[in-house]
Amino acid sequence: MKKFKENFSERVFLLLALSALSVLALITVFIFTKGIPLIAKVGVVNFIFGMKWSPSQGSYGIFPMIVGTISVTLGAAIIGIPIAICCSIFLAEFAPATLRNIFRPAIQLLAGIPSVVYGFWGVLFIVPMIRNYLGGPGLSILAGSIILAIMILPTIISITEVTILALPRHYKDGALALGLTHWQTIRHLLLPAAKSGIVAAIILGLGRAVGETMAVIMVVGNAVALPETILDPVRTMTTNIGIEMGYASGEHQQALFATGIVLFIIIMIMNATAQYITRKK
Amino acid sequence: MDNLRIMSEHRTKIKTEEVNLFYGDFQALKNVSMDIKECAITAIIGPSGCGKSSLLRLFNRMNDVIPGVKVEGKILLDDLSIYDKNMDVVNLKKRVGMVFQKPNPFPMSIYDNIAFGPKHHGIKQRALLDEIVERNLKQVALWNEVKDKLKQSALDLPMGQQQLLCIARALAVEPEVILMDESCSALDPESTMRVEGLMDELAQKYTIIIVTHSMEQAARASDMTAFMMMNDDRSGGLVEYGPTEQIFSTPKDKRTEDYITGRFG
Ligand SMILES: Nc1ncnc2c1ncn2[C@@H]1O[C@H](COP(=O)(O)OP(=O)(O)O)[C@@H](O)[C@H]1O
Ligand SMILES: [Mg+2]
Repeated sequence: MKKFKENFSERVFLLLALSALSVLALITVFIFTKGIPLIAKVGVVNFIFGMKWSPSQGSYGIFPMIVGTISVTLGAAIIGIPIAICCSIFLAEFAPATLRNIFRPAIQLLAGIPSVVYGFWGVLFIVPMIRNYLGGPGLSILAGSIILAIMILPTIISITEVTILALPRHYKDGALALGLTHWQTIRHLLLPAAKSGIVAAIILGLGRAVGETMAVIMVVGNAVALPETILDPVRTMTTNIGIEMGYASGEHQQALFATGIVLFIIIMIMNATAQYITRKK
Repeated sequence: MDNLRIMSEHRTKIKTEEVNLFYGDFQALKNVSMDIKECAITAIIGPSGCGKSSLLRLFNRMNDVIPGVKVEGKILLDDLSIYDKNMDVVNLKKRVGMVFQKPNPFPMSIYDNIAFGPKHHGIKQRALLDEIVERNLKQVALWNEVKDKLKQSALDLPMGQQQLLCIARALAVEPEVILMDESCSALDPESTMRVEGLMDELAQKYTIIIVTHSMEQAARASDMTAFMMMNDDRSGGLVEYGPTEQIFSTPKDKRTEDYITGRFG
């Protein structure tokens, strides 16, 4: 009887796991079957490097959107990574227990805020601030970068902190005994030792930035044009899908799915790289 | 080494006078006074929890990182007060090196492990670092085993070699004193003999202080032995200190005798 129960529950779990996986597989297949015909028709190169996105005229080039995604993500990386790394070093190495117990849940909370709220906050504060102090329309790469930088903090901070905390205590003792200060120990021993975990954390965080849609739609202006400065508006691949999917049909809809394929591949590559780096260790 | 000669001919390298150590409210060491002889091996023995590691860690201020730690009394390295507030702690750590219980090579190459300390104390020239690495690996008799794989990770070495590497790493910053906290306890008998042989050789030049739970090791490898024990209030105290031969043959204190004859501990 007991054995039967064990077997039974094992099967149930297997079934659930398989169905989750198959839904995932279905979605993937769906996106690809929907998108590939258009890429085939336009041509991969024309689709990816085409400068003109004008569904009504049948032009489907997403290069400005790729540039948009890359610039906003890069901006988020430049702003967010240093802050995140400093925060995790502080949490792992310097913060007294009481402070850590406030900080850690606060950062988790940051991860739980719906992205539309970030976007709303961006529209109300970041965008006007940029418009007033730096010029331009405010809706810009910079605004998107700032919002995304904040949004990727929880991912990078928590993974980096865990990686640093997981380092054996005796590494630190060894370095301190050689006469390194606490800070030198962190800089020259702990950070290099935690490198693979930190890189993985960064890639996962940036993956999130690439995929973020709602908050970005609200602050980047969504103009389909190559930006010249970080104060120019852009459209990213995700926002392109988010904005147009409501009314697109036919070829236009296929083109949005095709954009999805490109996104999908980019994020897959990023996650696979992160996994590979953490495993190699 | 001749017992009486140690007492008379070796000058004092580290001197503690009525040292008390507190972790917060808990007193871990009470009234410890001892003179540690230069260029000799001093063993600290005693039951677990009696404060051996705490005493050892006083000598290079490794206790500093523990919150709430308080030190009273005098600890002198040569004529320098270790706990003086003007003490240059980095320089102290350079002069007093430490080898830990578990071999703790850094997650980097064998070469970088040895060069790590010297680099941080300002040595940048490659040729000089090469020379330091080679000299110290030779000093611990590890050179022949690793000279062809200096670029490989130190973590891939067997435990015994890792510990020798850690000793070489400590030697590379040219210390005067080497502290070893149960540094053989994780090693197999053969590696233990290797480390002991090395200690004997190093004692020509360096002052060595070891903590050991093995009385055989203390008897075999040390010139001076300090026996510590917990007082009734759980603070650690020094019971008896003298030439190893005398401690093991004619202990003065009944408690020392009980301990070395294995009646407790
Ligand atoms: N960081 C610390 N904080 C508080 N108490 C400690 C700390 N380290 C050691 N102790 C206490 O001090 C006493 C002596 O410890 P230790 O020096 O490690 O003894 P031994 O090395 O002889 O086993 C023990 O009672 C131990 O619990
Ligand atoms: Mg100990």
